[in-house]
Amino acid sequence: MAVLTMENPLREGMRLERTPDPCVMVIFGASGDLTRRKLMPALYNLWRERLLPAGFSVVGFSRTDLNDDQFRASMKEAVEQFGEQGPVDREAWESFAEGLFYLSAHPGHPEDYASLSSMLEDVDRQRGTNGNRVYYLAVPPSSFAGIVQQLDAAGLAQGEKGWHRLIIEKPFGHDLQSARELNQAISKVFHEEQVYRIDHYLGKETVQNLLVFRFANGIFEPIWNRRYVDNVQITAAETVGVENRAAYYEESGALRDMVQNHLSQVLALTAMEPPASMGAEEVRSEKLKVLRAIPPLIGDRVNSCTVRGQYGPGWVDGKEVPGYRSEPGVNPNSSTDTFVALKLFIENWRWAGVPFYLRTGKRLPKRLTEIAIQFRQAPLLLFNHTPTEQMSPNLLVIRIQPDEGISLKFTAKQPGPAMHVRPVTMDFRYSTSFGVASASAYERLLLDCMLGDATLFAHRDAVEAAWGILTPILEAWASQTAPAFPNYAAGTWGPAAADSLLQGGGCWRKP
Amino acid sequence: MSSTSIPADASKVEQELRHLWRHEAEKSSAGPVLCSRTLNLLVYCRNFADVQRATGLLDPIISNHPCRAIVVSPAPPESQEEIHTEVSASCLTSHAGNRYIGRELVSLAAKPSAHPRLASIVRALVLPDLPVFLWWRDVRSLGSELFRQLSDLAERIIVDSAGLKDLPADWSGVQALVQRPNLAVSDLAWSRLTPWRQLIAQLFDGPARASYLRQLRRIVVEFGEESGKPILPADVLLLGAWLARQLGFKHPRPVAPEGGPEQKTATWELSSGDSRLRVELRHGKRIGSGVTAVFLTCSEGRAVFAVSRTQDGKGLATRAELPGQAPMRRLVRIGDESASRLVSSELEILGRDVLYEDVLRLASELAPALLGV
Repeated sequence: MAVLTMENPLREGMRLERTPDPCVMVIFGASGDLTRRKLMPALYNLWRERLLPAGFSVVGFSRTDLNDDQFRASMKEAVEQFGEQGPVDREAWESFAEGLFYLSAHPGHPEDYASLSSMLEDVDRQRGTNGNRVYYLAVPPSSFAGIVQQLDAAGLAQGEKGWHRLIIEKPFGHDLQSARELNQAISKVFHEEQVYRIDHYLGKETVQNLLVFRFANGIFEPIWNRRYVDNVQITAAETVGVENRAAYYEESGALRDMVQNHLSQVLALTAMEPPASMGAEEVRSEKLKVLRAIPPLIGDRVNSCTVRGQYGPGWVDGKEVPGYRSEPGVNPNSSTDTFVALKLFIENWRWAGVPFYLRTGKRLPKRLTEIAIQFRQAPLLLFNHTPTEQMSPNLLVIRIQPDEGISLKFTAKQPGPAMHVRPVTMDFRYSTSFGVASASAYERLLLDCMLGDATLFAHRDAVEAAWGILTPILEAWASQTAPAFPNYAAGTWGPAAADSLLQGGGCWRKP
Repeated sequence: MSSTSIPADASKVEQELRHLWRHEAEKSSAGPVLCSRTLNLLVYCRNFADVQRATGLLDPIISNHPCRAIVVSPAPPESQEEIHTEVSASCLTSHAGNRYIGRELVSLAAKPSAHPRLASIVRALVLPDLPVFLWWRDVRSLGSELFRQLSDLAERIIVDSAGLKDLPADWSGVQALVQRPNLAVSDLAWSRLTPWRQLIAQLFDGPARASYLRQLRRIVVEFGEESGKPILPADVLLLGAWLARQLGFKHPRPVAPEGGPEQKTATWELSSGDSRLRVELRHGKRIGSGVTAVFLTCSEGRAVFAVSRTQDGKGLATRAELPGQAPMRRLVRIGDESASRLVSSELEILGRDVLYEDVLRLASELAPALLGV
């Protein structure tokens, strides 16, 4: 029998659906693109699905001159335009919109934080949010440190009442030094357990399923090591070009934009040891150990273990597209990498000697993200009539997007009197086994943050460890003469030189 | 979708299904057809008309849970066959655009004399290594021999106690279900309460709000009408029992309703130490059937919390009236309350619902007092 020592005994036994404490989310950059495209549709969906508490509120903080009603109208338009769950329900929206407030303010002005403080107290009184705060910095990284300091100065970062959490978006610095500086600036104000570094890749269903696949099935873990695995290929391919992000991308490039966060996190989840529990600390600690076990590429190894590329003009999906240097806003002589391939090793007992190949690029033939685990060839080829090259090794492919699922390639005998063999695949697709579409990654991650579950967010140590691997590469590239870009045509799988990374004459998977 | 009538024989049914898959694959012009099944769903229908209704409900369920569905029903009186068997298989298109065979439907309509044979055919048709769910659509025949035989195959039974016409008398059938070891129970009447329970719980989130839980002294659950008559269905009873249990109250004692015996009202007083809680189930004037409103009142009326169905029946409105504060209101859409949606949700669950079982036990203590309501 339930007793009233629990905070809310009515919550006992609720299936799956978790609801956070009533809270206010303060969005810095509330009139910006991220808020409109991702945050507000995700919050509205969570509200509609009854996953947010009754008093949940949003305070938009931005320079654009708006009042509450204009902000609400603008957000409704955004949800209508970018929401993926059909038309906006009028009454549900009105109920949600009652909790939307706006403060026209400058992130550098201390007096605006005093106004914010006063507004938050009003919201607490009106909506019962009990001093619980999420600060979402949907602003350029250059503003992070300043906003955090202002929050501190206004007494908004800590408090006797309620909890205070900070969400920041990548990039978390542009090299190891700047990442450390950013982390230090944040840690002066917020404790690490208050900081949620969002990487939307980690909110994807298949990324989370990777943990279930590895640790809830007894048959995979015993072969998940150097004894059975020949190599691992992780690919994140985009068909799009630089779009309207030229200014950012020119400074960033593929290595910073994708490898530092998304691919390093996927790599860590693929290679980590079983955690003691699925708690945030345990999972993040095991991921960190993987990143720390990757020796940085220094000296000649930068050239032998990395390939960078930049797309030229070509054809993608039946459309002729310009080269990177001809994209609007891009320097015509740009040496920014739009493709990168790496060979990394994890120096621990499980993975010593197994190459992990990472590849990402823009204007590749398909949009997909996958992890391909290639197992070692059978030790003895008994089927003499089959050419060796047709005896392909077992391959386990975990597709993260777009068609989430898992497939296993193995060899089978072809029907008939002769002993001819051929590879076949066994396919599991999320969409055919579980008919429902998954919640968006932002919905999952925003809810987790409000619930105080940091498992799917990056820890500062992991961010710095990833930069520790990549910064020597960036420094080496900066010291070399600019490569002969462009070196791959749009619509191809990157520069031919990327094949040279693979050991033993292997080749990249062409999914 | 192809559908074929064949002899009642499990091997013939399997053969026919294989034939139908091949046919689907051959006519497919959209690439290879995948075969994907995640469970077995046995459905018992009370008559032929119910088979039609259930079959209509199966499509959205199977879209979410690719499965082999075996629909069992009594044969119509005019049937010449002991067991009439029909088989169909069809491809579905996933939201990602893949075509896959996810729907295998075997319909078996049997005369009572054929029930032993029927159970053996069903047993042979169940796909191995996949969980078996039994959706028993006639909650008043839970004591039948066919139910016993089919439920022995299942890991989970899905019933809808809202279908009980005589709540005090029939309640024991549902209660007996949860006594069975190795059998989990899903009650759609309980599933229907999920949005109510969520919203009521949300009213008390946070330490300040949770402090009112200790002060609650009166709970009123209002129910509506069906075909112009006030009907107190099982979900109303379950909601009252759930609230009392979660607040730590027990030992229900029926008391006279405040409005007199002519009111469609049942009232109990429950205790927890020195505290008393009055739980009242009463006919309300609001629109709709089933639960229409819930009111939770603190001692001396210091605070009132309410959740009620909106006029259009599609939403729930919450209201909290606290001392010194303006009333706080919220409106949410309930979403899809169809049987398809509810069953679909239950198919996601494999283990026992311990909370439901506990609530059912307390509801069983309350049920006798419903006589005449």
